[in-house]
Amino acid sequence: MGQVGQTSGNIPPQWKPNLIVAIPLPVVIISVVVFNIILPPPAQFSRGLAFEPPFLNAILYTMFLAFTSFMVGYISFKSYMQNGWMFLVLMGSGAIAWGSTSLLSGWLTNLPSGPNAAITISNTGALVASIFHLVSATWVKGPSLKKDPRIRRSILVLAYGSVLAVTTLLTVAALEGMTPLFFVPGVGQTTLRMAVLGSAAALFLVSSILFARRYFSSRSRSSTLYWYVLALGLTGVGLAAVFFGRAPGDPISWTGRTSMFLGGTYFLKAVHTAFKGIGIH
Amino acid sequence: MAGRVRGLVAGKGRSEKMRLRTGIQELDDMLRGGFLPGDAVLLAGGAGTGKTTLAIQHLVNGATQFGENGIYVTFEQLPNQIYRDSQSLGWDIRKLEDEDKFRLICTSPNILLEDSGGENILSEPIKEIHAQRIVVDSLSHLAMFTSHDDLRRELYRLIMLLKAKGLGSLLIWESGDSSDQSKALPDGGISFLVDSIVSLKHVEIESTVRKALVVWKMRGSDHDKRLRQYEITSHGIEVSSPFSNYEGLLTGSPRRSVTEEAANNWAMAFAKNKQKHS
Repeated sequence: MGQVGQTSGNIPPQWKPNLIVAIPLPVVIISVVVFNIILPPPAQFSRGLAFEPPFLNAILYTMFLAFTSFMVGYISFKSYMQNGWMFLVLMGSGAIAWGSTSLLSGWLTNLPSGPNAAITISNTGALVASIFHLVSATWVKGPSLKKDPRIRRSILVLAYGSVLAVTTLLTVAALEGMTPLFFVPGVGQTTLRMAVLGSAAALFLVSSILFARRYFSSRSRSSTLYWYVLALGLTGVGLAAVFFGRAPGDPISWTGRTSMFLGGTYFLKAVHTAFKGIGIH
Repeated sequence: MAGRVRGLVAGKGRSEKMRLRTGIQELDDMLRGGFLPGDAVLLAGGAGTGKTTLAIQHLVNGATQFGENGIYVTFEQLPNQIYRDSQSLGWDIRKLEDEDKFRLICTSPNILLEDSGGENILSEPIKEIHAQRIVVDSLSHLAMFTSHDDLRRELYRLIMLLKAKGLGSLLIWESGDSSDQSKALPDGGISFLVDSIVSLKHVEIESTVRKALVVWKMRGSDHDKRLRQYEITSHGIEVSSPFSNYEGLLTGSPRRSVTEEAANNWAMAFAKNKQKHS
């Protein structure tokens, strides 16, 4: 008896943050700076320097961004049902927004009409997701007093459902050409895209910093939170890298994508630590 | 006799519409509508789990809500005690007796175990009120008056008698709250004689004793296999949600399921105020 609530049968060893897993953050930043210096501007950029085989993006986005985000959405769903903290709904909604738009944009990258629709969906989804994460990181209210699981489930269904509905509408609008242009082939990104992508990257990074403050201010540091902070950071840096890209599939784009894929892996690692019961020490 | 019993049961058709509802909505849902007519149901549980309350509620609801009158046979309680306890739960058994919807029989296991004892005791009340339900409280008392070797035969005789009379029976068995399931259910093969088994037991979760109900077996029907929480309220048994967040309740070592534990870890990792909430 008395096993309830314990994370494991044995007291785990004191967890120390693994600094090696944080190294990709500065590596990505340095790589982008170097590429930005050595690569020619968009107007003189040779397409031979771009690598964009069909479906590779789709597979990678599905594996590293969509699947990992849906896992975060799932555990946040279960967690809110159990604990009632609203920040979990926001976090889960952000993950669902990021996952669903990544999934769709990945598979719509190679449309005959060009990459604008995919970029519009991806970047708008990133902005929505970053806003959710930022609000989640700043949320200070305690758990809801309404413990009725039906009410909690309704709130989650409403939140996740709304995110998916907006994603669907956004996709249809982008495919039908009803949204402003984000990318013009041969010309490059529009000012709107720069604003949206820049904001998304900044908000992801700010969310990462806010959660990092929470991590460092806590006496019992959580490896789950550590991985999550790095995941948000890598996602933010990855988006910022794309911001400097010359064309889809250029070295800067791939550096940014790699950073985001690694971020997705870190999201999954955060979920994994929660499942292994080694998240809190 | 066995042939006659089979004929009677088959004649009833065992249709979904004819199920004997307990009148406890959630329990009926667990039983996919209610007990099958003519079935012998073992109601096993420890002290204070509400076996008698559930059994009387089954009879009272049958008589008042579904027009199925019932007989309560007890070896352990005196009539006044049952009238008083039922009254406190809002059930006027005396009135139901006056209306020929209920019969209370206080007797000794010895009498029931005599040759034709059951026939002698039950025939008249069954005819008088056209009973369709019966509760025997309890088989454990009956077992005290017979040897271990004879127990299975005697219970078989009793169960077949009740089936032959077309009665859906609820047979109470007093078990301990042992975490060992083999000790929570009766031995002597009784579990194989009955058609259904409903078990009531206490479980300890986070230093709180709660009551749990589970349908172990229901011959010829699907049923809810989940362990459900229930309470004894001022108006009888109320069954509520399943213990979906826990594993190992029956072994006496409950713990949150892996997913629930992970979900809790997830929240605690991000929460500023690391206090548990549920």
